[in-house]
Amino acid sequence: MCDEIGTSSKAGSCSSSRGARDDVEDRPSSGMMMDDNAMDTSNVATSSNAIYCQMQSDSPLEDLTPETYPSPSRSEQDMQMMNLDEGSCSASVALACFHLPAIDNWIDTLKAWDGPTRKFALDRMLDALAPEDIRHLRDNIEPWFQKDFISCLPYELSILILKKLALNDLINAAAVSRRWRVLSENEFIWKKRCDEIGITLVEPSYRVSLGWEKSAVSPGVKISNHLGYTQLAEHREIKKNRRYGSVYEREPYKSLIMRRHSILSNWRRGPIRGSCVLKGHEDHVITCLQIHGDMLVTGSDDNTLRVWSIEKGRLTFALVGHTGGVWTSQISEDGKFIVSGSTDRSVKVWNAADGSLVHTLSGHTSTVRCMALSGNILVSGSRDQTLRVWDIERGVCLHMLTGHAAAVRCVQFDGRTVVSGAYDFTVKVWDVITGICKQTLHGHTNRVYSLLVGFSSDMFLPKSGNIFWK
Amino acid sequence: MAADGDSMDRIVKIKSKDGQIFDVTLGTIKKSKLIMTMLEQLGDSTDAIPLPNVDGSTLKKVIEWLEHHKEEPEPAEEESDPLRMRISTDISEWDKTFFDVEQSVLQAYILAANYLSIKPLLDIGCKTVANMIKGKTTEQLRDLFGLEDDFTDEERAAIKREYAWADDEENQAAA
Repeated sequence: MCDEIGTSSKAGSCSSSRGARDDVEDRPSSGMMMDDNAMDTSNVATSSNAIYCQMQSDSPLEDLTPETYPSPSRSEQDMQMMNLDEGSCSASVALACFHLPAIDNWIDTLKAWDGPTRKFALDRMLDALAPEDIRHLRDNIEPWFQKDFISCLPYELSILILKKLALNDLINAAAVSRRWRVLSENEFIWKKRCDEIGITLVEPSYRVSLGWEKSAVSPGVKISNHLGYTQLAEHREIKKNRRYGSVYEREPYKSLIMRRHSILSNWRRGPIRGSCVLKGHEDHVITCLQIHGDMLVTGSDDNTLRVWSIEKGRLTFALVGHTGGVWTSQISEDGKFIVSGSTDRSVKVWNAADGSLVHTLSGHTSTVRCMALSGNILVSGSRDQTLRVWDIERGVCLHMLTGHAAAVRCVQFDGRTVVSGAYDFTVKVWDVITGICKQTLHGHTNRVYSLLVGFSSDMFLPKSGNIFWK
Repeated sequence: MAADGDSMDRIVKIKSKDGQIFDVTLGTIKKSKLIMTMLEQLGDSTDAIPLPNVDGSTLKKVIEWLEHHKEEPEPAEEESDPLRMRISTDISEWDKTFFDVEQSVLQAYILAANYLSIKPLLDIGCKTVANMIKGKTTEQLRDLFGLEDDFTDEERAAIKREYAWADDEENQAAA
C-alpha cells in the first residue's frame, strides 16, 4: 500500500507522503463517501480510525513538469489500481493508510479479479462517489492522458510542428509512438517535402504487365534472361503485399518520395530485373535516340526514324520520308514534334502524335549532322559549315550562322545562346537573336566532336573534348 | 484596417478567462487577427473583449511578446523558397528565452497564439517544439515528452523497414 501511495504522489496527486506523515492528525472520515452498497463486494471497512493526512488541494495539472510524469513502464493494471487507490480517498483528505489491512485486502481482492470484473467494480464504485470525489479522481487521472503535449494539441497544430522537421527528425518522431506515427503520416507534411524536392506525380510503369512480357513471345521483342518474368512478377507481388501494421497507412505523397528514392537507388545499384529488345532497323546503324516519357525515337541510316512505346515494348509507327540516312533527331519539350536531320540535306518536322510530316526544312547544302531545340526554335549544324536557326512550327529559316571553316559537328542551345563545335578545331558562341558570332574559342588541336554547356550557371561553361572554357 | 499613428495608440481592453483585464494599444495587439476581427464587429464599444480560452498568466506573456515584436512587419504568408524552408527553425535569442519554459506553459502559449490567431507567435512556438525534437533519437524523444513505446515488435520492425531508405536519402542530401 505504501508503494501505491508513493507512486501516485509522483503523478502529482497527493502531497509528499513523507512530509505528510510528520503532521499526522486524527481526523474523522467526514469525506469518506463510499457507502456499503459500493463496498459490499470488496469487504473493506471505511474505518474512522484510520490515519489521515492533509492533501494539497492545488490542481495537480499546474505541477505537471516532466519530472512528475508517471513512469511510462506502468501497466494498465497498475493504472487502474491507482485510480482505485485514489478513489478510496475522500475529496480533500488523502489516506496515509500505511497499515490498514482492510484496504490492503480490498486491493488484493481487486487485483485478483479478472479484467471485466474489475471494470464492473470500478463502474460501481464511480456510481457511489460524490462529485468532489470524481473531480479528485479526474485530477489524478488526467496527467496520465495529458503527458504527450504534442498529441494533445489540436491536430493541425501538431502538424504545423511536424512540418518544420527535417526528414531524419520526422522519421525519429514517427517511431516514438503510435499516435506520433499517425501524425507523421499527414498529407501536408509529405506534400511539402515533395514540393521541396520537386516531385510531380508520375504514372507508375506497367511495363511488365503491359508489354514487355506479352511481347516476349511476339516477334522482334523479348525479355532477356536477367530475371524471368515469373520471378519478376513474384517480386512485385511481395512488394505489393508487404504490410506495415494496422495502426497506420502510408501517406500517398510519402509513397511518391519513397518511389522516387527506390528508382534512384535502382539506377545506382539495383540489379536489372527485366529488359526488352526492340528490333526494327534491320541491319542498319542506329545513329540517334531520344526519349520523351513513354516515347522512344530512334533514327537510323536506313533513312527512317522509328517511334516506340517503351511501356508496351512495341513500335508505334515509323517516320518515312528522308531520302538519306538520319543522323540526328530531337523531340520538342512538349512532346508534340519530332525533328530529324539527314544526309539528304533536309530537316524534317514530324507530328509525334500520328507520325505525319509537318514540314521539310530545306537550306543546308550538305548533311545535317547535329541539332538543338529550345521551344519551337531549332538550331541545326551541317557539314556545309553553317548552322541554321529555324522556327519549326511555322517551318521557316530565321538565320544562317556562318563562320566555321569546316563541318559543324555538335551544337548546344538554351533559347538564346548557341554554342557550336566543328571540324575546324574551334567552338563558336552565337547570339540566336542577332545571328552574330560573339566568340570563337580556340585551343583544340583536332576536330570537336562533342560539347556540353552549363547554361544555367552564371558563368558560361562550355566543355568540349578535354578542354574546359570559362 | 487603418494603420495611422493615432489609431495605433488606441487602448483596447481584453479580458482573460479568469477575469483579468489588460489594457493594450491597438499597435501592440494588431497582430491578433481574432481581436482585430472582434474590434471591427464591436465598433466603438469600449467594453473589454472577453477571451474565454486564455488564462491571465498566459495572456500577460502573449502581450509581452506582442509588445516586443510590435514594430516587426507581418511575415509573408508562406515561405515558398525551398532553401528558406530548410532553415526555418532559426529563432532569435529573445524568443528562445521567451519560450524557455515548461512544456505545459509552451503548450498554453501555442494554444493561445492559435486561438488569438497570432501567426508569427504560433510559428515561433511551433519552431520551438520542432527544435526540441530536432537531432534527438527516438528514445530521447520518448524521455523528453514522457511517451510510451506502444508498438508491437512486429510494428517496430515494420517501421524500421519503412524508413530504411531514409538514411540513404539524408546522406545524399548531405553529400
